[in-house]
Amino acid sequence: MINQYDACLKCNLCELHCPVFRVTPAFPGPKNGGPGIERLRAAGKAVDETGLDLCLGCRTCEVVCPSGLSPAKLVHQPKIDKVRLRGLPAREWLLAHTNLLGEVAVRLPGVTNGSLGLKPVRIMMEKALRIDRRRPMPRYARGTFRSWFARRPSPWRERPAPNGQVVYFHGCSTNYMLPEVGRQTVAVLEHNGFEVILPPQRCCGLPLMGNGEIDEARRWAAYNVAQLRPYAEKGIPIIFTSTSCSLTVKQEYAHLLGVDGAEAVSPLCYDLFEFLAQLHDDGRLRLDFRPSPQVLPYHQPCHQRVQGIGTPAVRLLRLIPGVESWNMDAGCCGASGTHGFKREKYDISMAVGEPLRAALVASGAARGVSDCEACRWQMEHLTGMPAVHPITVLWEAYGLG
Amino acid sequence: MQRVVVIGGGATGSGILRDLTMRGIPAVLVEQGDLVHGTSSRYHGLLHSGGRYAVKDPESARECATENAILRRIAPFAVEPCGGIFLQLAQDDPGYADRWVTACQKAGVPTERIDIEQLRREEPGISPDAVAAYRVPDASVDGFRLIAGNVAAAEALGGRTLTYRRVTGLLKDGPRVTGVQLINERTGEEETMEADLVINAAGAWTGQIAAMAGIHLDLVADRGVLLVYHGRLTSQVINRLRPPGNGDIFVPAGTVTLLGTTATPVASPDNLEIPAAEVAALLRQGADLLPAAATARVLRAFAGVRPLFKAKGDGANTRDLPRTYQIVDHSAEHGVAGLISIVGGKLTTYREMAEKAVDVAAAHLGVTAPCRTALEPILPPPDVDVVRRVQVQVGAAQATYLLDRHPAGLADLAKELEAPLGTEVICECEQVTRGELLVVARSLPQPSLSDIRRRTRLGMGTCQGAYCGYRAAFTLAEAGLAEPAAAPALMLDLQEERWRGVSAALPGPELRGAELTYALYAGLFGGMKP
Ligand SMILES: Cc1cc2nc3c(=O)[nH]c(=O)nc-3n(C[C@H](O)[C@H](O)[C@H](O)COP(=O)(O)OP(=O)(O)OC[C@H]3O[C@@H](n4cnc5c(N)ncnc54)[C@H](O)[C@@H]3O)c2cc1C
Ligand code: SF4
Ligand code: SF4
Repeated sequence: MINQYDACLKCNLCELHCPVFRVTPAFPGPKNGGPGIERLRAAGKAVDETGLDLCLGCRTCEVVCPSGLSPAKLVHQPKIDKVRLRGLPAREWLLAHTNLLGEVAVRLPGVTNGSLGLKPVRIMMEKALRIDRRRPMPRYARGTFRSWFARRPSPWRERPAPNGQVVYFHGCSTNYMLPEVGRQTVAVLEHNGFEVILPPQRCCGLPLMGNGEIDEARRWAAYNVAQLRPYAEKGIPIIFTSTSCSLTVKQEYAHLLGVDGAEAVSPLCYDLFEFLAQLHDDGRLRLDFRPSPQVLPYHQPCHQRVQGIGTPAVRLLRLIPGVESWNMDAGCCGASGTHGFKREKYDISMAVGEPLRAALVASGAARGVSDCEACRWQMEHLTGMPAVHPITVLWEAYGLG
Repeated sequence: MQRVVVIGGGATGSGILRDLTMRGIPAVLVEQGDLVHGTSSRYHGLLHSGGRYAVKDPESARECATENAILRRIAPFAVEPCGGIFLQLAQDDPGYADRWVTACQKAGVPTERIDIEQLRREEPGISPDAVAAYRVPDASVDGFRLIAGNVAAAEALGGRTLTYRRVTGLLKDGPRVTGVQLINERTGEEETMEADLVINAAGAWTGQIAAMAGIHLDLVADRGVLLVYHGRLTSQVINRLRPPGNGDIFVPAGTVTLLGTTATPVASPDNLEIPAAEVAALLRQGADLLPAAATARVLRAFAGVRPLFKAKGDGANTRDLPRTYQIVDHSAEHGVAGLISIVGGKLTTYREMAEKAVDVAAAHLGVTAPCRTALEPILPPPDVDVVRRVQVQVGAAQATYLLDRHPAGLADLAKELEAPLGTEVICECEQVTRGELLVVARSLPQPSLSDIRRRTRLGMGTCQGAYCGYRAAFTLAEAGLAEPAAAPALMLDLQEERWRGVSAALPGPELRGAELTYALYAGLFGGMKP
């Protein structure tokens, strides 16, 4: 029964690195809001939880803590307790149920995107739901990624794929909003001799967890584990193109949610570029890239950083002749999933993203690169310049388009 | 002129000061350090139900039972009514429990047998070897708040308190004591103070004062070591149900938990050494009751010295000496008029000790007013308007800390919080704001950070003053309450005091924290001698 708060040294490293603490005094910060408050709460003392929900969940504090603590989890705990007691408020419910909305929206993308783009609608949303009108809504696609995948024949139907099979966990945003990322991923994997399998799957649960709805997240996680586990047991790698999904399935299913069987799945999970970089290390990645001179400033998503896998996307982009790419290392983008949509967090989200904005603008590049869709939307919103998944660049360079 | 000088700013002396002033006797208290400089801040913090002494020392048990009920009533601001448990482990003598229950009954200590599974739900940390449990009305009592409350109540009635005044001798007129000789420890000046009567409530130092009148008192200084855990390990006091021994009580106190004690006779009451073997033994013994105690973070260790009174025929083991007290009227016993000494006792029974001592004093002074200290609350309830002002400033949660810490003097505090930056947090671990720091500092002449620490808990949490120490020193300098040039010394002084406790309890996570603090002060501030 060692309490987490016992381990905190008050060294302040987490405060130094926390992107929110840096921009607003309204946030108590990971040290005080985490182990500090936990100690007082454990003593039965009244604690002030105001401002704790400004945490972006970027988990930088966890990366830097020399005591191996996760201040982020402690900061998040009051929200979980509150939702247990009172349920999700309407806005949080909406933002957390990306998958359910997506099912409707992709059938009527014109109407959905059109009305989400209308000013009066946004004013209404801001009034009723406190969803900030300045934040552009992601656009829903015409048809899901899964329906595209189901319609197309696999190139490896007749004979086994030379490099075997991989399972693809695409996540909600790929399915409903960015099917091209899914299509490009499938194309690149197949180009490299893999057969792609697409088991049924639900939202990974991160938006639910982020909004404090742990019990529902656990149900979805259990569903996903049941789907993925048979493949994991056969040693088939599971690939993610959203770093938040990969982090959640790799770490949280076992740790925070405690889902049975999650430990069996987790070691087989790879972020797409983590997987491709390993392939390259084994000498198995095809290098038939067309020269493509371009400058590609790369932003590493916090949720990838915390996985401790380095920056594989930068390594691989640099294999393309003519590409100049580097990790901008400008900290958190400030969007952090659904947080940036919330009225009261908009300004903080923009302030957090300021160093990234400056780095992007200074790069003089035509577009930026990041593995996470929320980061990319924020990069576009911060600068007006497009941002793409690194797989898009690889796909172009292979000439698969 | 004051009619009485009271020596000793601990529980007993402050209780005597309040009692005297309530009976209309002008009095002044002198204390060589800050309030609670002695054993009243170096103790376990247990408001005894009496259970611990029931079998061996029924008189003490009875006194504790009575006073426990009184203090809950008159000092709610200092008592945390957390309740207590006596826990019997499989390896303990089962016959003792029956004797104990009977003895408690006789001494008027209420006990209630409770289901061990029920207790596991209340206290998940208890040993798997626990076999039986009884509930008793133990509580946790904050020595500083209790004594400050007594002093505030006495001052409201005209009583005076002089801290940092050490008694160096007694003024005498023939065989009669007529006052005290003092040295001001802050300025080095010598002073004298005349009085009709001197009451010696110097705790473990009582023998030294008596010796100034040429009187020998047979006292034993019995040193006890305690460990302070970083967090709250239990919600109630946990005692081991066996004959009193070492390391068998956990007392939760606010954010921390105290485990103790040991008992070692020492030659001088100033011997506050903390032998490593005693710390190790406490950790071992504590883990019998609460297994997590072996690995949970220990913030520091400290020692205090019990003033035990040795009657003729008592043996050498200090655990066997009675915990009762004696009022010594030196005019009757030694032919020295004008001097009364109080020896022995416990913090729990301080009020009764004060009452009996003042009864003797009043008889000498010809005062007939009866003692009312058990009848009236020590402090009036806080003014609701002021409470609201504090809540508006810092929010309801934060206000609870302030109300707990400053039951008297809230109005000044509210004003200081309303000043610019008043609500800025200086000590994060224990939630001390700038306003609180300043109001306390203004109330003291030349305050040290330790004086402020005792009144606020600044520096008593996780970081042990590493960060709040320098913030507080600079804040005092900025507010003109300390010379800017003196700020580094203030800061290092607190660090050295904290370091003494930390260095004794270094195993485990605390070692890392201590090293960080050391690096910070040695490296950045260029000071600190560990
Ligand atoms: C380890 C330990 C644990 C204990 N636990 C408990 C417990 O849990 N519950 C309980 O009820 N009791 C407990 N006790 C006993 C209790 O703490 C003491 O009995 C009580 O605090 C004594 O109070 P006091 O006012 O008599 O003495 P003190 O608090 O020691 O006060 C005497 C004061 O006299 C001052 N003084 C001395 N010499 C001079 C001088 N020359 N000039 C001016 N001032 C002088 C000292 O500085 C001191 O502040 C414990 C004791 C110890 C040692
Ligand atoms: S998760 Fe990120 S925003 Fe939240 S406390 Fe940690 S570092 Fe700060
Ligand atoms: S980084 Fe870790 S040890 Fe340091 S203050 Fe933050 S939580 Fe505490």
